[in-house]
Amino acid sequence: MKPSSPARKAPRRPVPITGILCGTDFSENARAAADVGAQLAQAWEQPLTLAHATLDLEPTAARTALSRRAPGCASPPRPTS
Amino acid sequence: MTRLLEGEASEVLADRTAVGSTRLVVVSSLGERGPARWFLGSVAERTAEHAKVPTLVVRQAEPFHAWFRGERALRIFIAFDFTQTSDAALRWVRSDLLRTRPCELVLAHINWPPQEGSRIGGATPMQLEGNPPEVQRVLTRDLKVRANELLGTDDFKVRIEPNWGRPDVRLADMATEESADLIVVGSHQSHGLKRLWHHSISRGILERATASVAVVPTPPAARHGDGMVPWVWRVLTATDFSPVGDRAVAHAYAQLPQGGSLRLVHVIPPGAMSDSQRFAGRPTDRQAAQHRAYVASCQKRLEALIPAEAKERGVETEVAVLTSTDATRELRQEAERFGADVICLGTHGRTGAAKALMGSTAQAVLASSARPVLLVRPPAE
Repeated sequence: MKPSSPARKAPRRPVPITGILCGTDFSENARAAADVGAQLAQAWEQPLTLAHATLDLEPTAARTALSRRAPGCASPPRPTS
Repeated sequence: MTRLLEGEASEVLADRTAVGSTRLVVVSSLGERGPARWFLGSVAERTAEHAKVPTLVVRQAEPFHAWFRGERALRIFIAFDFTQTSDAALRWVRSDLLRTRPCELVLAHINWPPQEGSRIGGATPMQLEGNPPEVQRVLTRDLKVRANELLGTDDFKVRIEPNWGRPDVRLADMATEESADLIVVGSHQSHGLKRLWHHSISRGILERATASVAVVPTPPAARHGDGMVPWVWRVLTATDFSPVGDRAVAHAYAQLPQGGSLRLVHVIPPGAMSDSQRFAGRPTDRQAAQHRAYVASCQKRLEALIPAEAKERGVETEVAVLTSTDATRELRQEAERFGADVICLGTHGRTGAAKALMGSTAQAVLASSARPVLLVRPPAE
């Protein structure tokens, strides 16, 4: 009989996002793009999500930067587990 | 709302569009530089290639700000190529941009001269600069009809140009000439080897354009038809004056609603003086007169085939005698020039040796034309 394999972590399902999704790398260009996204979201009455993708396992700095850059976003983001 | 996503940027952005109801992805133009970009493309390019919804790559934000402030219209340059991909781009412009604020639209089409010369034909030979008038007229008409249908407006400028090089390079230049704020282009979203083989126009425009670019993917359902029932307004029919050829004329009228147009043609070889005689080379005065008389007689025979009820049905009829050594090519090209929604032809229904010996113009048109063909067979004896 085959030894049981160690429990694998199930792949995380992507969190559904509605409305307009803005990607940012915290550059000035990305900030300008996010502003356009925010205006479109307002015109279309759609939610706006500002997202930063990272391969960093300890993305605290990125999370802080993201909360500062969010156009029209007053509250800090909820920490993800 | 802000989110921190784990993974490669273009992958996680594109993945999020496959779930939920994301309407648009907005990214800036900067990203990968150097060899990595050459092989993989920038984050913006890769996101646009994989996202299930339109991707807006912002290069110049100020025109958008002025548009939202109501100071000016957004000047949109749409690359159109008569495919479902560019249909999807036009639908997106209509549903998401025209309803937002005023826009100025420029529709651009680049054609490959040998291809259009073969498809449309015409009296003028291919030129190095500019399209022959017949090709330009047909392309302009077809683009206006399609765009009007999809945009719901005829308030747009049309630019059609022949191009011997890469279309994406010329399209990006044309957008600059038009001072476009935004270029909208459809994407087949081919990946891997398929993308390298069929050079991606959208990626080429993303690489070269100085304006912002929106890349619109083709919805999977659109590949199975756009869900619209097409109207038949224009029918091309041809007869060789055989019983089955003439029978097809009646069926051609049956396809048309009130206000439709029917073009009834007969193809003769060059220099034909009767059904069996023709001259070669420069004709004598007598031969030229005989040729004119033969053409006039064919014209009369065609007119005699117009049913009395055609006028009552409100169907316009045009008759023409066409001259060509290749009836199949002439009919296929005439259908393009006329803009036929359907080609209606009689077929003798020959098979086997008879078909090999006599050939079948109708079968050859069916095999070679991109337009719907209705074949009418002789009645059972």
